[in-house]
Amino acid sequence: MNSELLDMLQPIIDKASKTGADEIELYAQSRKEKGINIESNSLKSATSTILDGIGIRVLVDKSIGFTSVNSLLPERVEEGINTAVSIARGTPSVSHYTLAEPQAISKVRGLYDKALEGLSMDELLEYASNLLEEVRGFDERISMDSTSLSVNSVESAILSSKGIEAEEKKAFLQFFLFGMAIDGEDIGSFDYVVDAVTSKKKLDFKQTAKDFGERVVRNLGAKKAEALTGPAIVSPEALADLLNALVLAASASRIQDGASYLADRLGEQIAAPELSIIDDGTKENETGSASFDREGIPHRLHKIIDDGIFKGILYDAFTANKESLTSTGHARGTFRQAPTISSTNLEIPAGSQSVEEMIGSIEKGMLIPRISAFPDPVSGVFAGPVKGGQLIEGGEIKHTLKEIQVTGNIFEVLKNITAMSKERSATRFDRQTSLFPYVQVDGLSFSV
Amino acid sequence: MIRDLVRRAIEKSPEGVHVEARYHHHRNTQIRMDKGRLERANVDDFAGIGVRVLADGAWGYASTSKLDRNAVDAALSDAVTAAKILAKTKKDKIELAPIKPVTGTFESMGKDSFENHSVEEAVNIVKETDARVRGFDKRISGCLSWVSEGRSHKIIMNSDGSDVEVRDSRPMLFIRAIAAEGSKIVPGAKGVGTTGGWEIFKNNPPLEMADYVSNLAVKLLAAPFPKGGKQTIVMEPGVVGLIAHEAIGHTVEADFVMSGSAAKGKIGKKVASDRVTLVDSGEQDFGAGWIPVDDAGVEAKKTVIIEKGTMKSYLHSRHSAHHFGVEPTGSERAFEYDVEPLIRMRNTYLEPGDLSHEEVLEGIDFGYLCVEPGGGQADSTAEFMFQIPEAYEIVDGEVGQPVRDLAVTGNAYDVLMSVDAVGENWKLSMGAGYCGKGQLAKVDGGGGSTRAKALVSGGGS
Repeated sequence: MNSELLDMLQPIIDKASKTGADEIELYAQSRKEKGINIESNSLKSATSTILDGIGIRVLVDKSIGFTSVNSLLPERVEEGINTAVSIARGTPSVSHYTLAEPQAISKVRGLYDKALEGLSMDELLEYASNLLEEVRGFDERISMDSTSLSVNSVESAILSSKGIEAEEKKAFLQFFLFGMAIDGEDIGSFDYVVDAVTSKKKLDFKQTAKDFGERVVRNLGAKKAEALTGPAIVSPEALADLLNALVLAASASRIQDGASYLADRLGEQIAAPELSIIDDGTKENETGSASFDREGIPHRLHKIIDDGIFKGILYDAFTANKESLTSTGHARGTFRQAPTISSTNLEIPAGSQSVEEMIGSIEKGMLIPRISAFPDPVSGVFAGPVKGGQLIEGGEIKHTLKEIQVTGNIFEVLKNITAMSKERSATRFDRQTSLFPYVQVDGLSFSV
Repeated sequence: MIRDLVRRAIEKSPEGVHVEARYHHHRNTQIRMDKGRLERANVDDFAGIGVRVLADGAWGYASTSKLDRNAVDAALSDAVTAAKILAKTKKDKIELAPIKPVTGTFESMGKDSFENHSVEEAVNIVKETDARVRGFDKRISGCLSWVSEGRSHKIIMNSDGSDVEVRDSRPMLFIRAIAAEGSKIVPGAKGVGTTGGWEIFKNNPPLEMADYVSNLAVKLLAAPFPKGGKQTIVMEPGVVGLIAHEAIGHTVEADFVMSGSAAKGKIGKKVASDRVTLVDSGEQDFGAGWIPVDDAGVEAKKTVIIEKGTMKSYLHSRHSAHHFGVEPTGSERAFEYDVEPLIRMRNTYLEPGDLSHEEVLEGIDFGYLCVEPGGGQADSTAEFMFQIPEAYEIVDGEVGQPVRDLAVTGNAYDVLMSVDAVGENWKLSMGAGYCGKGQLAKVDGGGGSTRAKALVSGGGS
């Protein structure tokens, strides 16, 4: 049985086909959100939002137009369609622009927990109070600057003139902890934890508070760094930031434009043979999962790097058409944007050593918890400050460093991985997650 | 009719509950072309009403995209319920500083409103700039250009009697040329953003900008890396704005001060050189951070943060103003109707000095002119790192050759303490892009050319 959302889309498609659009795609979302915000170690506000909207993509003579409206009212949607068609009439035509053909969709499990969706404001408040107590109990020097917990339920439906028809409901609890530790005049660098769960059973505020507490408290007592050379251990969180560039570089739109390091490198050894990077939007109980992507194409297990070899380009429908391939299900985005290519649940399999063993093997080097840098997806080059850098000497963590910069190249980092940890840590946003180990690398340069 | 719905939320509020209700229709158009391929031609239309209430000392917020009486009543009721639930466990009750209510209609749509122009015209600008960049030189290997316009219509009311209507349009133009030769790949980029109309393209002709960034990218191919270490720098208005905003401005947002930022306890203290007067103001209606009234219905005043080197004020909400015993500064803003207002900067700048550009450069044996700000970050400690994609050597008081990959680092307060010359060439020049703080906000920043000492690095030096 179709949902109300999907039922509502059919007459719109019928109407839109009379406006001169050759192809049309409607992606509707209905979102309910309840949230609690914490500021300056105190409960600040409670929020409640209901949001409906629809993204309208049309093609007229292979030219594209896109509009979105946050309303399901027929007159607003009609106005949106007319605007999209008028945009399409003014944009250049691109020969491979045609919407996706339908593919069989299997339902991904564990994305909707009725108990989670049904959480009351009282229960959510109790969670927020617990989290605040746990963090303050971990160390009272911690200042939670802006922290939020929110429970969301999102219903998505897609219908296209090509016969795509799909719908899904997801529920998740998202939390974002941000703050720093302060000890008298000593203000530590800020840090954060981003996580989300799809089931009530998976909540563990004690552990979340501990992870956050450890990250911010270790930034106290930072000492000015002296020049440093040696290997680095990159944390899962820092690695996730650096690997944004890999996802960009592996996306077909960049490869086809020649704006990627990975252009013409499919099948090449681009990383250490021990390294595999998988993107899997079908994992159960993960917020990055969904039964279908932003174009109604099923997600799949997709190997981007397999034993160090670049195996998988990320395609959406348009880029796949250009090479006469089928989409890999990597069209992403909300109803408010035309689809763009991105990852779902990125994962690197665990290594064989413990983090302690990795530290123990380093005579002089650094553990990097956070890097403020954005590698260029063409050259791979990045430069930026290390935050909360931990000096390693004689196989032990000595103290935290401040004012130290790192320069490197993400694609060299992938080649120069010498060890990976057994322990892994996840960062989970509402539509994307990563699960990575600590990696030990050579070849980064540090400067002060 | 919409005015009646907003008013309804105020009038229907229970006894003793403070209400702020805000209708916001935000229509954002974006046209983006990457190397000749039209990547985006989008119009995003987003409208609704947000209701914030203060009940029993706690905030509740609810919003609706449905614009009818039932939906507004439900939003008010949800917000009050949320606040009362929170109030049961909240120990430190929120109180608000008093305000003088604001009424009236305010507008900054420019001389030639975007409403008079079609999306197709914007597509043509992007197409022409893209073609111009790619045809500039055989070493140009890529081009990204985009035009966007965010158009807002707001109706803001509160229980204190504020009742205002605001209309504005905030266009942006950005062009990035990439030049490549051998293994070298370098960008040349420039962005402009204002509050106003189509005249942004007359004041910043897109084809001239295309030539400028293309020429810069090609010149940077042969440019050396900067010399690392502590150097004299002259920051041009866009870079002054970036430091004022990112490295100082965020530390004086009162919510961040209350959490313990580097500006805590600094009121009345000397934090910068006598030449530094730092202001955050909603006044300039051409600046991308223009607001006449904030989203809580408070007049957006000019706030002097640092006066002749001494810290004078933070940026306040009514809540933080009550906490610190001062007047609110009109700094609370929400990006769209569905999120609650937060303390945000507006146009953040250093007041101009009285020196000509030549006088600012005079006497510098060697240093760097930092022209265009790029990416970067700042910390709770006021430590920062900014990339300066357009920078030149200064040799014997004259501007010399460009340098590649220059980055400036340091503690922002130390840098401001070292300021010893400020130019008269004041302008706001940081209006392209957004400031992010959980939600977006349009801001601007600037000043006159400012001479200081800072750590310079680049090219791995």
